[in-house]
Amino acid sequence: MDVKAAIAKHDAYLRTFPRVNGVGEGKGAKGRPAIVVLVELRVPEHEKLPKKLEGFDVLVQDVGHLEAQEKDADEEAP
Amino acid sequence: MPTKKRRKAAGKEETMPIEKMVLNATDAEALSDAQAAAAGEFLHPDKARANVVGVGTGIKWSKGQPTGEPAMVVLVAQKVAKEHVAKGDLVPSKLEGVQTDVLAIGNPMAGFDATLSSPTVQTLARRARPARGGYSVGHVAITAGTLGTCVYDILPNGTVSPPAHGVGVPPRYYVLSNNHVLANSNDARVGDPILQPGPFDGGTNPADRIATLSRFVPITFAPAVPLPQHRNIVDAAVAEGAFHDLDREIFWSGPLRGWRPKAKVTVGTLVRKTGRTTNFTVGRITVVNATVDVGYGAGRTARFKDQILTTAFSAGGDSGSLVATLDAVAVGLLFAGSPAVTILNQIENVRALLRVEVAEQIL
Repeated sequence: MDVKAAIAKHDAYLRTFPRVNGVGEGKGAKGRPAIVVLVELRVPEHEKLPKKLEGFDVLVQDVGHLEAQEKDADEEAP
Repeated sequence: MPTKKRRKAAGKEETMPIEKMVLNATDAEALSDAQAAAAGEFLHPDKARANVVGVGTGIKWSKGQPTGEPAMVVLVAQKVAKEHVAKGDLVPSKLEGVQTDVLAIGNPMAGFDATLSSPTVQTLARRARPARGGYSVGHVAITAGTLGTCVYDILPNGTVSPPAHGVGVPPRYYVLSNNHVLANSNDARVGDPILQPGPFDGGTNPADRIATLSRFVPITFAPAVPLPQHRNIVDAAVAEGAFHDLDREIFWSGPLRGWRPKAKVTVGTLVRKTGRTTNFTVGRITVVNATVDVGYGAGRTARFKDQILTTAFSAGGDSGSLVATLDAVAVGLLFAGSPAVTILNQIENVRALLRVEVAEQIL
């Protein structure tokens, strides 16, 4: 199973953890493909995330709240 | 505080050991006590040190390269030579047994877009004809986003699967940007005016009309549709304009040499963009094949599959920027982000769904 298939298989499970807002493919130890769990904010429950899935490292990346990047209307116009 | 170079100027693709840039969960946990001590040491009002604006955990950098070793990162407004720092303000080399590193971040301000009204970021917010990639653009009902580049319909015999370029005469030319920039997040109608600059930047209709909305890929939003049912892969739209008003070159970057199929978009690649708000910036791809949930305001969220994540190199108003490698190969269309990351649609998906050509070579 490649990492893409592993992500597809476990995406729904990984999203059962709180504050998870994405899952993707990154690189882990020695440049090997890894599963990256994107979180809005780190919480203690993330310690229960598996360290490996299907033989791939599972990494946690804090990405904050993701938003479309249109100009914010609340700012002062130029 | 000692000064040291963190990263080399980005002039060409450089290789950095990505695994050494990642702080794993175990190391982060081990640093938590040290971080609490550091916060007490550096951020307590009674012990405040000049120039220190924060502390965090991260990776030790040395000679412009990540070492992979966990470190307490002391955030300073600016780096100052050791001899110019009072003894009591020096950052110790170790804290609670953990090595320290110093990172200059300026003076942080509340709000993601807090620095965006400075004069230097207004350059691309003005009117330009022909308009190049990087300039302000937007539907009449939005604030402003970025014109990614200018494109044309896939030519006769051109295909999307497998991708191949066609031959012939382009029937129409377009501005390429996001759905939420050109089509007001699905709420626009084909034929609506597109302004350059965008309305927030003073664009008015009809004086600053550069194009009319031609087509967009609809976005599925929650809560109307539950997130697991979403099949979004792009936030993209095109608006038709007059050939002489459109310039496919990108401000400060020039023309694209080609575009990259998603199978060849890899973690670690350095990329650049020019955007309406943060101008010319460089980032690095950190995650591919990502499925992410993105907020669109008013309580709406959309789940996107097959996305690219990079280090943060954009801000509000940069939506629609065309992202390319340092040697001018298009890889993505910027549409979302946070203070920590920027998110791109794969350019192959944008091309296939809008059926437009962004460049002639597949590289």
